[in-house]
Amino acid sequence: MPAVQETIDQVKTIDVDQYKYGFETDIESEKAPQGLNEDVIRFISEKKGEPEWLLEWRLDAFERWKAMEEPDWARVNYPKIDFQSLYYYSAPKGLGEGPKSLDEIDPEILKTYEKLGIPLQEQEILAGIAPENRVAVDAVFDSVSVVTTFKEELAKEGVIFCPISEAVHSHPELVKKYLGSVVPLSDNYYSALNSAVFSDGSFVYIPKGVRCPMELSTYFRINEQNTGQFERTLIIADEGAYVSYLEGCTAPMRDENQLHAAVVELVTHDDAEIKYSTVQNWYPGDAEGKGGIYNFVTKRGDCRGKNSKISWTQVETGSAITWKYPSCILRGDNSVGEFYSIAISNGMQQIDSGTKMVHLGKNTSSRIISKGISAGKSSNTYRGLVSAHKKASNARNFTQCDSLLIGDKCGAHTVPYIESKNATAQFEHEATTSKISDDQLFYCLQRGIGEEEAIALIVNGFAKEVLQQLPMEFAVEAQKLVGISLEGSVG
Amino acid sequence: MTQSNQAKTPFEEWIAAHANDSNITDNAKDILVKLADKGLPTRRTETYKYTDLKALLKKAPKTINPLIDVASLEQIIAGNAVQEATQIIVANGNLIQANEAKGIVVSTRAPSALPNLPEGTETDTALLLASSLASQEISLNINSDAANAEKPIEIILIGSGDDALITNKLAIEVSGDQSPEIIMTYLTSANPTIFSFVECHAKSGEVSIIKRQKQGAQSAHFETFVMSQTSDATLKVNQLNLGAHTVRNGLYSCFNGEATAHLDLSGVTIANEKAHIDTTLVVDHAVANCTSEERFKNAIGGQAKSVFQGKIIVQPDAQKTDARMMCQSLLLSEDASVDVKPELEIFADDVQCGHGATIGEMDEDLLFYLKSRGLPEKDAKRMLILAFLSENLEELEEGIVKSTLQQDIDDYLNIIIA
Amino acid sequence: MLEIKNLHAEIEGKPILRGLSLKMNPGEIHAIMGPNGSGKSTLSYILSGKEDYDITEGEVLFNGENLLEMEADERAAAGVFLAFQYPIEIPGVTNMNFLKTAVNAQRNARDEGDMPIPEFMKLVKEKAKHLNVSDEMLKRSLNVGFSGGEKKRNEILQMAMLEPQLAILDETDSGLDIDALKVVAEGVNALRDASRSFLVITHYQRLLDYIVPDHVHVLSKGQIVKSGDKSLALELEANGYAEFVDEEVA
Repeated sequence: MPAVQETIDQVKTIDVDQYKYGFETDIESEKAPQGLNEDVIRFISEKKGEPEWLLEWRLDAFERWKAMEEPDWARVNYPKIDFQSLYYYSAPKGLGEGPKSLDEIDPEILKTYEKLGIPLQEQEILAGIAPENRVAVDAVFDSVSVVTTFKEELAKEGVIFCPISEAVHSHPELVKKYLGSVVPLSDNYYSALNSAVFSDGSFVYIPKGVRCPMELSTYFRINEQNTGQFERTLIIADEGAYVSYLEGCTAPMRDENQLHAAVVELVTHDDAEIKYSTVQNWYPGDAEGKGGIYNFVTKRGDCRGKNSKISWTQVETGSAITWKYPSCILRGDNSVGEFYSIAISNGMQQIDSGTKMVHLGKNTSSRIISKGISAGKSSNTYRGLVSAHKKASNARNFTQCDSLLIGDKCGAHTVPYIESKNATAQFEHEATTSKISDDQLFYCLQRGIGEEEAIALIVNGFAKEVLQQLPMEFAVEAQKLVGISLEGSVG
Repeated sequence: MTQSNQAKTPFEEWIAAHANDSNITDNAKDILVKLADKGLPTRRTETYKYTDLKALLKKAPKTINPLIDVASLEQIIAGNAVQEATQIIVANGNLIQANEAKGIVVSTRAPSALPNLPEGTETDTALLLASSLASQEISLNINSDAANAEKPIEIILIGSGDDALITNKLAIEVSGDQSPEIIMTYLTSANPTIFSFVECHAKSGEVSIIKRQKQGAQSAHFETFVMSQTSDATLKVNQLNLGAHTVRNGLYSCFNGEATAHLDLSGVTIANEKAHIDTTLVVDHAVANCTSEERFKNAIGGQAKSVFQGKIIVQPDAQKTDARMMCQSLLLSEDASVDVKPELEIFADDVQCGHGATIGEMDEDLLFYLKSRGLPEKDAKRMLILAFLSENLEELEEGIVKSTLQQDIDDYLNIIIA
Repeated sequence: MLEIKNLHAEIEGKPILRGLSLKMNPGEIHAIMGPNGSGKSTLSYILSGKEDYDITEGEVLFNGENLLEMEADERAAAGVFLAFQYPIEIPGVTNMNFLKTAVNAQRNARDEGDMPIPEFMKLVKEKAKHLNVSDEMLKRSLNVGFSGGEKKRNEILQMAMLEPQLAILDETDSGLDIDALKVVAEGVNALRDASRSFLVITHYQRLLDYIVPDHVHVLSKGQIVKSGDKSLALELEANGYAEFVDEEVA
C-alpha cells in the first residue's frame, strides 16, 4: 500500500510535539445565554427560524433529558459535568441564519479551514482533480454550518446535501419523517440532550437509484470556549442509492474540557448502501490529562430495506474521553452491517467504544473488526453487542477484536455481549491482546528504521484491515495520525 | 438506582424474616440483613445481567436443611456414585459419612466469617446465603501423607426436601506433591434449591476438581467456587451441568503465588426444557508468569437458555501472563437461546491473552453425511453432540473418572434427545 | 574495517563471550564456525545492537568508531547488516513497503533524501529477479507465511537493496536445501566487492563451498580458539568440533 510510505514521509515533516490543529481562530461570535433551560432552547430554535413542531420536539426531548441520569456503565472517569456552565449555541457573527456564499464568509474562518487542510474553494479543488476524486464539504464551525460546497452540482443528480438547519426549511417533509426515527428522543442521556439543543449538522438525501457522484464530507471544528457542540447528522439513502460520507473533527487546545454530543442517524432503504467514515482527531488534552474534548456520540444506522448495507469505519485518535458505539439495526432481510475501527489512546485518554449489531431480519450478516492500541497511561475499551432476535434466521456475525499495548501503564479491555435467540444464527467472536514484540522492533531497527517510525509501521500493519476500508484521501490522513498519536509513547 | 424500593418477593421476605432468627450468629445476621435490604440481584447488576435472580427465585422455601433418613440417601445415591472412589457424603448440608484414608482428613466446624472476597463476588448470592445459613463448614484436607492419588475422592452432596433450601459450605485444601482427583457429585430428590460455597486452596501439585451436577429437573443449583493457588500448583476444574432447572455456577480464581501456576477450567452444559444455566467466572492474574485456560461447551435444546460470562483480569504486575478463554455453544432447537459475554481486562503489556466465542447450530453437512451412512437422525445428532462436548474431557487422565463422566453425558443426552 | 577487541558479554549474568578478538579488512570474507552454544548468534546480535546483552569488557570498532555506543538503527545506517537466522514476521506491512521504508530511512540518516519511486521500483524488480523473489512475494506481508527458503532469499534481497559495508550472515544456510542454498550464495557472491566484508556464521562447512571465505575461525565457549584459511573448514567437517570442546575441558 503506497499510502503507508506517504504517511511516514508526512509524519517526518510534521512537528509532532504538539497537537497540530490546536490553534484558535480569533473571531467575534454570537452566543446563547450560558446554561440550559427552556428559554435557551427557544432561543436556538428562534435563531434558526424553526417551525413550531421542531421547537415542540426539542422541548419534549429536554423534558425527557431532565428525568434521565448520566450513564455510568462505561469505563471512563471524569468529574461531573456542570451542564449549566456551558454555552449551547455559538455562531460566528453574521452567520447565525445559515451559510452564505463563499465571498461573504469571514476570511478568518476560511483561513482556519485552509490551515486545517480542508478545501472550501470549489475552484481550487477543481484544478487538476479528476471529477470522481472530488469531495463536497459541509464545514461546521462551532454551532453552525459555514459553507457547503458543490451543492449545485449535486442537485443536478437530485442529491440533497445541506446543513440540517436549511433542510428543515427546504425539505421539511423529509426531516420530519426521518429525524429521530433511528435514535429516538429518549434513547440515551446524551442523545436526548442533543435532541433538545442541536444546532446544526449535515443533511443528506440520495434519491432512488442514484449513486452519489462524489464523496460527501463534513468537517467539524469547535472553536469557542466553554461551548458544547451538538451537531445532528441525518443521511437517507433511498432505494438502490449509494453514498460515501466522511467526517473529520478538530478543536483548539484548551485547558478546559469541551463537550461534544452529536447524534448521527442513517437510513437505508431497499438495496441502498451508506458508507460512513470518521477520522476523529478532537483535541485529546495535554500529557497530564488537562483539557480535551468529551466526545459522547450516538451513531446509529437503520438498514430498513432489504439487501441494504451500512458500513461504519472509524479512526479514533483524539478526545480526552470517547464514548461512542456506531451501530446497525439490521431490519431488512439480507441486510449487511459492518464496523471497522481503529481506536488509539495515548497520554491520559480514555476510550470506551465499539458497536452494536442488532439482527432482526432474515439472512442478515455483520462483520466487526476492531483494533485498539493503548499507550501512555490511557484506557482503551472495546464494548460491543451482537444479537440475533427470534426471527433473525440465518443471521451471521464475525467479530475480531485485537488490542495492542505499548507500555505497562495503560489498559486494554474487551467487553463483548453476544446474544442469540435463533438457532440458525451463527456467531463467531475472537479477541486477542498482545504487545509489539521486541523481535519485530529489533528487526526494523536493524534495517535502519528509527524506533518511532518502526512503531508506526508495525501499528499501521496491525490496523491494516481497517485502514483499507477508508477512502484513499482519508487513509493517508489516518495513517499519518496513527504515527502522530503514538508520538512519545516509547523511550 | 437502589433496588430496595422495588416490592420484595416472598423469597426476599423469607430472608428478612430469617435474619431475625435467634439461632443464627451475628456474622450470619449481618449478611442476611444486608441481603434482605438490597434484595436479590436483578439484571441491573452487571454480573447478573442475564440471570435475574429476583425473578428466578421468587418462591419462599418451606424448610431449611431438613433432616434426611439414611434409607432415602441410599436410594438417591444408588447407581450415581463413582466406582472405587473414597466417599464423603454430605446430606442437606451436614456431613454424614467420611471414609478417611491416609493423608485425607475430613472435619466439620462452625461456619467461619466471610473470607476476603475476590473481585466479582460482592453480590454473589450463593456465597452469601451459604455463608450465613450453613449449619456447619466441612473441610477436606489432603496433605503430603496422602498416597499418590490412586483412588479418586468423591464428595456426594445431596439435597432433598419439598421446597427445601439447602446450604453447603465446603473448604478443600491440598498440600504436598500428589495429584488428587476430587469429584463433587450433586444429587437431589424432590425440589430443593441448593446454595453452595466451596473454597479450594491448591498449595502445590496437580489438583483436579470435577463437578458432576446431576440434580433432578425440579431442583435448582447455585454454587460459588472460589479457588486460589500458590507456588507451582496446577489446578484443573471441570464442571458437568446435567440437571436442575436453574443453575448458576460462579467460578472465581486468583493467582497469588510467586511462581508459575497454571489453571485449567472447563465445563460442559447440556440443557433442555426451560432450564436456565449460567456460568460466570473471573480469572484474576495478580502476579506474573501464570497461565490459565478456560474452555466451555454448551448444548442447548428445548426452550432452555445458557449464559456464559467470563472475565480475564491481568493486573499491572502480572507480566508474562498467558490467558485464553473459549466458549462454544450449540443450539439444538428453535427456542433455545444463549448469551455470552467474554471479557478481557488487561493492565500489563507483556502478555498473551485471548478469548473466543462461537454460537451456531449443528452442521447440516455432517448430519447428512452420518445419515447417508445409515444412522437414524436421532443417533446421528447424539453422536455429533457427544463429539462436540467430549472435547472438553480430553484433558482428563484416562481412568474410571473420565469414563464415568463420558457415561454421564451419554446418559443425559439419551434422556433429552429421546 | 571491523575490529573486535577482547569482547566479554553476558546475558542475565551468564557469560557467553569471554575475550573474543577479531579483525576484518574491507573486501574480506570471514567465516565463524563453532559448536552449538559457542556464542555464534550472540556475536551477531551484539554486533547489530540487540539490547539483551551486557558488555562487561572489550570494544568493537567499526571504521574507527565505537560501534557499541550506537543504537541498532544507527549501526544499520552506518552499514552493518544482519541476515537473521530466523527472520521476523510483521503482519500487515508489505514486503515492498518495508524495503522502501528501510532504504529511505538509511538514506535519510545519511542526508541523501528519499530514493525516487521509479528508481526504487526498478532496483527492487532487478534484484528480486536475481534472487528468484516473485512480485507476489513482494506484495505479501513481511515474512508472513513465507517458507524457510523464501525467508532467507528475502533477507538477501534486503541486503542487496541496503548495500551494507559489513554483512553478517547468521546461519543463513540452516533449513535450506541445496538449490535454495545456491541461490542464496549466488546472491551473496554478486555483492562481493573490494569494500564490502562478510561475516559468515555457520555450523556446517557446506555453505563455504559456495561462499568461499578468506579466513575461517573456530569459536568455542566464547573465544576464537583457532584461525586459518578455508582448509580449516574442511578439517572441521572431517573431524568435528570435539577437538576444541575437549581442549577446553582438559
